[in-house]
Amino acid sequence: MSISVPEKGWYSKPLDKEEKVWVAIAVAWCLLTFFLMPVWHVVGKQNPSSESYKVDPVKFNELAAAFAEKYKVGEENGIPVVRPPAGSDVFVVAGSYQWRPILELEKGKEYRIHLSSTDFQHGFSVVSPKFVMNYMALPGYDYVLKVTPTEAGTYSIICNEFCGMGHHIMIGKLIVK
Amino acid sequence: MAQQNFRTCPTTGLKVHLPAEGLIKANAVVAVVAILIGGIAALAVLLTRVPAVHILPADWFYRLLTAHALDMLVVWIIFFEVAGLYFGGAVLLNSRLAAPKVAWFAFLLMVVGAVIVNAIVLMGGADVTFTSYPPLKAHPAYYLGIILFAVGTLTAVGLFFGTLAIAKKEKTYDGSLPMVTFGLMSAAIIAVLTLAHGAAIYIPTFLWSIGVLPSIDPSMYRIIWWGFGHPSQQINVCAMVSVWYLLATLTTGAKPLNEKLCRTAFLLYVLFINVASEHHLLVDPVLSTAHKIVNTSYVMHLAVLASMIHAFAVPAMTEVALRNKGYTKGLFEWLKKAPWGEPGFSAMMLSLFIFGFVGGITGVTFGTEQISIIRHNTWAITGHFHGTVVGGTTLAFMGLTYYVVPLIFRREIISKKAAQIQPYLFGIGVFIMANAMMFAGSYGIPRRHWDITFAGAAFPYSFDPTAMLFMTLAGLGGLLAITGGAIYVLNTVGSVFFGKKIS
Amino acid sequence: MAEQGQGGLLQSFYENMYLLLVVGVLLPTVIYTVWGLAEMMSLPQLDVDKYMQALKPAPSAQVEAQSAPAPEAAPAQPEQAKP
Repeated sequence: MSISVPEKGWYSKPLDKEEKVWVAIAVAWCLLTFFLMPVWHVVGKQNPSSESYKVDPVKFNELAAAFAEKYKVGEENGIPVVRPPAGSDVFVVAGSYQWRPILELEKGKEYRIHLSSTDFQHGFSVVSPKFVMNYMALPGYDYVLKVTPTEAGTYSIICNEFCGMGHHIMIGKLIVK
Repeated sequence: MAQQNFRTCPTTGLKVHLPAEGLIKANAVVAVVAILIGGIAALAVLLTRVPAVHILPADWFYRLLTAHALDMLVVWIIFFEVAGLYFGGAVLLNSRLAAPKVAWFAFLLMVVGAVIVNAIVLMGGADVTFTSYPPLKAHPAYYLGIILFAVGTLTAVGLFFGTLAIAKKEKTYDGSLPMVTFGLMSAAIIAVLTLAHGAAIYIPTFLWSIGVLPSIDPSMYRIIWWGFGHPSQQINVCAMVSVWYLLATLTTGAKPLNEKLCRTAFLLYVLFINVASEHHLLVDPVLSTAHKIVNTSYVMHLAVLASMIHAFAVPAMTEVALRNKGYTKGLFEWLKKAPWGEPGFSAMMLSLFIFGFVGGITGVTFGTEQISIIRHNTWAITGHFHGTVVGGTTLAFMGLTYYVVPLIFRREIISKKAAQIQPYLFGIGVFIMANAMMFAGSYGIPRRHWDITFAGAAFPYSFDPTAMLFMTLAGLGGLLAITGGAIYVLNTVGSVFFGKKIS
Repeated sequence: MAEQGQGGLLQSFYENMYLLLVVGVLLPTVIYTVWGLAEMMSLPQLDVDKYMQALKPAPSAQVEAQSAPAPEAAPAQPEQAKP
C-alpha cells in the first residue's frame, strides 16, 4: 500500500522483467532525445542566437534612430521604412507599443538584427500565415539575431509578452523583397 | 496525555491527530474558496479570449487574468498541498503534527497574503500579470502579499519536515516512509528551492517598488523568477504523482510493485526536474547554448525518465490489484472492470493520461531551442500548462477531495451522481481546451492578449481563420471544464456543510 | 534508519531527508541559477560608439562616408563576433 510503510527489504528487491524492459526503453528514449538536442543545434539551420550584449537603453535607442535616419526610404503611420544595405547590422527597437523601424530586407541575404527595448520587456513575434518566430526584447540587452529571409512578403511583428495596456495594439511590420 | 488528541479512523485504521485534522480542514476549505474565485475569473477571461464573445474591457481582462493565475496556480494548489503535507506527515505516520499553533500562524499569513494580493489586483494596482516582469511595476502591497504568502508556505513546509522528524524520533512508524509521504517529501524539498528563489527575487522587487532600490535588471529577474515560477509547478508534479499513488491505493487497494523504482523516480524529480526553469528563457538574450541545452534537457532528460517510470508504475500496480480481484480474462478485462464510476479512480486515470500525453509531452518538446522559436509565448504554452496543472494536478486533487470529505470532514458526499460525472466533464473539457489552445498557438496566437484582431492598431493583421476556429473550440472546452469545476465546488461545499455526518 | 546496511551511501538518499534536501536545493541552484547569473554578469557591453561612427561619422569623415555607405557597414561585422 502506498499509504503504509513498505515491506522490509524493499531496497534490495530486484526489478521484474517487465519493469526492466520498460526502464531500458525509457532510458534509451531519454538519451536519444537528449543527444538530439546538441546534434540538432549543429545540423539544424534554425537555432536561437546566443550572441547578446549589455547596452544602455537610451544609447540603443539613439543608435536605432541614427540607423533609421541613414537608410530611411519612406514612412508609414509615422514609423520610418528603412532599407539597409544587404547583409548589414540592422537595429529594431521596441518601445511605447511600437516596433521601430519597418525593415525592408533583401531575400537570401543574411542580416544581423539587433533587438532591444527602451521601456518594458516585449515579445518580438513575427507572424504570417506561413510561419511564426518569437524572440524576447529586453531593455538593457541587445539580442543579435542572424536572420536570412528566404521568402518575399510582408510580415507582421506583434508583441507576445505582456507590456501594459497597449500590449494588444503593439504591431509592426517587416518587408522582404 | 497525547492519546486524547487522537482519534482512530474507522475506514483506514490510521490514528488521526485532531489538531492536524483541524488544520487540514481549514487549508482545504480555503483551497476550495480559491478555486471558486479563480474559476469565476477563468470564465470571464475565457469568454474574452473567444473572439466572437470578447466580454471584458482590456484593463479588466488583464486584471482578471492575473487574479485567475494567482488564485489557481498559487492559492488553490498550495493550500491544498499544505493540507496534503499535514495529512501525509502526521496522519499517514500516525504522528502528531509539529507545533500546531505555528501551523495556524502559517495559515493566517497565507490567508492574509492571498487576500492582499487579490485586493490589490482587483483594485487595479497590479496590472502586471502573474510574472510581473520589471520594469512593469505593481503597487508594493502586491509584492508584500506574495512575500507573506510565501513565508506562510515556507513555515508550513518546515512544519512538515518537523513532523517527519518527530514521527521518526517517537517511532510512530517502523521502517521507511510510506510512498505517498515520500512523494510529498520530494514536493516539500522542491518547495524549499522554489521559495528560496521566490525570496531572492520578490524581496528586491518589493524594495524597488517602494523606492529603496533604483532598478531591477530584467534578465536577472527572469532567471531568478523562473527559478521560482517553474519549480513551483514541479511541487505540483510531485504532489500530483503522490496523489496518484494514494488514489490507486484508496480505490483499488493497489500497492507499488517495486518501491525502490518508484522512489528512484521521485529522487530524479528532486535532483533534476527543477533546472527546466530554462524552458522560459530559450529565446532570451544573455544565456549560452550550453546553459540552455543542459538545463532544458533536465540534464539528459532524467526527469522525463522519472515521469516515464511513474506512468508505468501507477497503471501497473492498478492492473495487478484488479487482476488479484479476479479480473484476469485476456489482456484488458481488468481495465474494463475497473471502478470507472469511482470519482477517485476516474480522476486518477484521466489525470495520468492528460498530464502525460497533453501536458508532459508538449512540455518536453516545447522545451527545445528550435521549437521554442515557434511556440514561445504563444497560446500553445497556455495549452501546455493547462494540460499539466489543470488536467493533471487539479483533476487529481479533485479526485482526492471525494475521499478527504468522508475521511477528514466525516461527511457523506451529497451527490454521488454528480461526483461520478464530474471528473469526466472536467477532464474532457480541459483536454479539448488545452489541445485547441495548442493548435491555435501554432498559428502564432499570442498568450495574454486581449484582442488578437488588433482593432485600433497602427497596422492590421488577421490570423488564419482556422486559428479563430480553434480559439472558439478552446472556449467550448473551457466552458465544459468550468462546468465540471462548478459542480466540484458546489458538491464539495454542499457536502462539507450539509452532508450526512459519518460517525 | 530502518533499512540498514545493503545500500550504503546511495541508500541514504532514500532514507535521509536532510541529505536529499541539501542536494536537491544545491544541484539546481548551481546548474541553473548560479551558472545563469554568472553568464549574465560576464556579458560584454555593446560597442555602441563603433556602430554609431559607421552610421553618423564625425564631421571630417562625413564626405568619405557618404560616398561609400555600404562597404563601411560590412567590415564592422567580424570584429563584433562574440568573445
